[in-house]
Amino acid sequence: MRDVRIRFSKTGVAKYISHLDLMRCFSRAFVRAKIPLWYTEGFNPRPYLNFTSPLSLGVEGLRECVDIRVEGDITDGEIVARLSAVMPPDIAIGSAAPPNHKMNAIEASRYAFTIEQHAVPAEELAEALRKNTERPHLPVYKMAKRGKEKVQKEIDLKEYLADFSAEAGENGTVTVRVTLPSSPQFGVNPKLFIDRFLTDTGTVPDRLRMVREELFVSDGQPFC
Amino acid sequence: MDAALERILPLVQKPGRYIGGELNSVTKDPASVDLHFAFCFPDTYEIGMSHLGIKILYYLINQREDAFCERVFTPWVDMEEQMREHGLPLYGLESGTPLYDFDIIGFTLQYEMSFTTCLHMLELGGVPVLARERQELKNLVVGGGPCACNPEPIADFFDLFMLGDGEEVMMDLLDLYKEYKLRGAGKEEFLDAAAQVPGIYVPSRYEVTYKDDGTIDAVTPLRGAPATVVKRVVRDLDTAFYPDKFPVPYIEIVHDRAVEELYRGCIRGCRFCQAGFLYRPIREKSPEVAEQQARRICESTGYDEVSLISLSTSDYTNIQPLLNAMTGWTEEAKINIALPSLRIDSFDEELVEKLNLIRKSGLTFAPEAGSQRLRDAINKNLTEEEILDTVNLAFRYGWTTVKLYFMLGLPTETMEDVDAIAELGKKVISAYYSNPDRPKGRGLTVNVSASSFVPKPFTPFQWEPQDTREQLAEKQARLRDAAYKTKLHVSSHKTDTIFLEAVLARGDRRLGEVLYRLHKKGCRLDAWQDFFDNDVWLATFAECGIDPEFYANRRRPYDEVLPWDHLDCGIRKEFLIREAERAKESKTTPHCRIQCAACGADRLNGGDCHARR
Repeated sequence: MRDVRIRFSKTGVAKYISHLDLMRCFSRAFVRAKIPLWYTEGFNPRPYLNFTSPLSLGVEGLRECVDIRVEGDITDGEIVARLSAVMPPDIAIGSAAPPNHKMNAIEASRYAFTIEQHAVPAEELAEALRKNTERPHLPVYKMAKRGKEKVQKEIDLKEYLADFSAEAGENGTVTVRVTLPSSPQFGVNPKLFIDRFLTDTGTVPDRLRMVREELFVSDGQPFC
Repeated sequence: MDAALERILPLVQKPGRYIGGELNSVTKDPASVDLHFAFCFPDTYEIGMSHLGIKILYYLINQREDAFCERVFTPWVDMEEQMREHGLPLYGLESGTPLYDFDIIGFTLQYEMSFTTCLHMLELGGVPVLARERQELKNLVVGGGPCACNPEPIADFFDLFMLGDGEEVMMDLLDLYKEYKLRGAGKEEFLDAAAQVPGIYVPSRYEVTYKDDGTIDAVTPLRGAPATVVKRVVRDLDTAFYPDKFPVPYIEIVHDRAVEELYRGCIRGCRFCQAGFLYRPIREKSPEVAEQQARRICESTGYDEVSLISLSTSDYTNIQPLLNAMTGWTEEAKINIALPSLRIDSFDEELVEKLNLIRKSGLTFAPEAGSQRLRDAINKNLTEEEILDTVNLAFRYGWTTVKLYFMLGLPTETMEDVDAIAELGKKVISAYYSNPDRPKGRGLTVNVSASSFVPKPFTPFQWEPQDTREQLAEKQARLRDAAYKTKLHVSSHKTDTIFLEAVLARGDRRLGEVLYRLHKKGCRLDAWQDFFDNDVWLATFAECGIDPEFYANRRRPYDEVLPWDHLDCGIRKEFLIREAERAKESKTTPHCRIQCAACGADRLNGGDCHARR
């Protein structure tokens, strides 16, 4: 019995799949691939599956992970090969390896937002977005719980702009990158972030692509 | 993906319904095929994806290199609103092609209350709803499924219907369509030819005339169409097409499991049950083939449950060998075998325990009627002793929840029969408390569900009046009174849709006008209480000068021309009349394995019926 960390991407239509649905999708994939999963020994045996923090609906992920526990002497390469053969089109298996960091060591995630629009030249929009970071405060509001009560909590995005970038691309496209906290204790929803910037610059995209590109542990090292 | 769709999806609930791309779904280039087929299920994704028939025909059509079959479901209202706002027409899930670009648009007709939704889907897909407004061969609208046995109320909207099992007649339809399409033939020419294909009913090739009293005078075939259209049957289920995979949805659907069909038809002959007659004659799959097919689907889907289905699973002659063959690999792969409509008294105890047949959900049981007399009248061959034996067995296995299904408004029913439902429920309760092996320290729950009877075509009760809504309400109240201060939990249904089902099930072409107007008023998803508006329906009948009670609550004489008389599902009318008369005398008819009752369905299968083997 050993632990294996499987890295995968969730792109295309799969970005509309909720976390719960993703878990069910993987459970079935392991069955189809005949991966010898280790089952809990309780009254209701279940396989052990542990995913990285959920992606918001509509956000793609390039380096997501799921930890499993396998029995027997199946190799990592074999796991990748067998799983790859049975995945739905928009969930692709990247690698399988022993886990290096603990799941709860994840501290931050880098997101890329690709804004497709045609209202203003791309460079102009990129500049406006960069300029927007100079405001004294960039407050966003998220719902939080205080005891049983639901309260609105203010977060100042100003604190999380260390590696902010906005680059103009082709055909009016602008790509914004930023690293936001995403630890088990505290996270910033990428949609809140980009909505603030779009609103502040009066941008209405034709299409907006949101991608979680990479997860990081405490010292800025990649998680997997 | 379409940019408009991408903008909409974040705004709606459960976007997973609208994206396709599931494992085992089929992708092809629409430009590379001759036949682009939209398989429409007039309900939500979760319901449509649970249906077995759509999976069989989806893979069957897609096996052909010259055809591409896509799935189309009804969007929920939030999605509909967004689609209209953004000018996005209803589309096929596989390629996003708008409905108006498909060659053939097929609907499966599972329940009458979905008729308005069919029109709604056409409109949302940019297709004219009236058949006569679609003058080209393209956008041919076809239908099949149980409600196609009397499709007269929707005859104005459909170009043709396929009667009976779809596997073979669908292939014939596609071949014919391709031939006519490739040589650039017109729609009328094609329909003339289609009317000659066995099992295909082209409503525009029949003229219906009425008498002064509103009943049908005659149905006259036109342009060489046959006088009667006989349904198609698949002769051998072992060699018939069955998919080796299912599309595996991302989101949770109603029946999210592998399904293996064991046989078609039913030996029981319950007189109220349309399915019991419509799918005759009996054709069984061999246990070897069933086992292999079930296994293959489990392997290709990764499902952890496989359901063995038929109209009455206990009547499958090889159920025990099949289960014995399956328990090995299902146990190893931790797959649960589900056996709906099973009678546990037909099993030995060891197997019941091994299969874990005692589900946490509890025992459901359908005596249908409370008194023995009425059970005999409807030919539900079930004695009170058998019912109590079964619940006692269930209690011994540890069940403490029992759900009993009954129907109110069955022909010949009296208030004494209604009281007998509560009496039977009470007997189940006392059986529990006098059973020494009952689970200790746990209370019992007995749920009594009382639905209402809807007379259906091709049953011995097809001439019967449905109880009026007032009569049904009175019976529901009587049952509640009789169950007052007992441990019985009675639930009954609103009678409005039950009444409309009865109107549509035995309706004729004059109802087309009503459905058209309902559609224009925005009716759809009427099978959902959330959207159904009884007042609109009743007002629309009145506007059209149609009395719905003429269809639902009138006793029809045996010699009246019925709207579906020119359609033949294999059951002889003489047999139905004989059964109807026996019902009036509360006389049962033994099931088909004890004695063949000569229903006539074997004629469709070259005289073969597996019940006589």
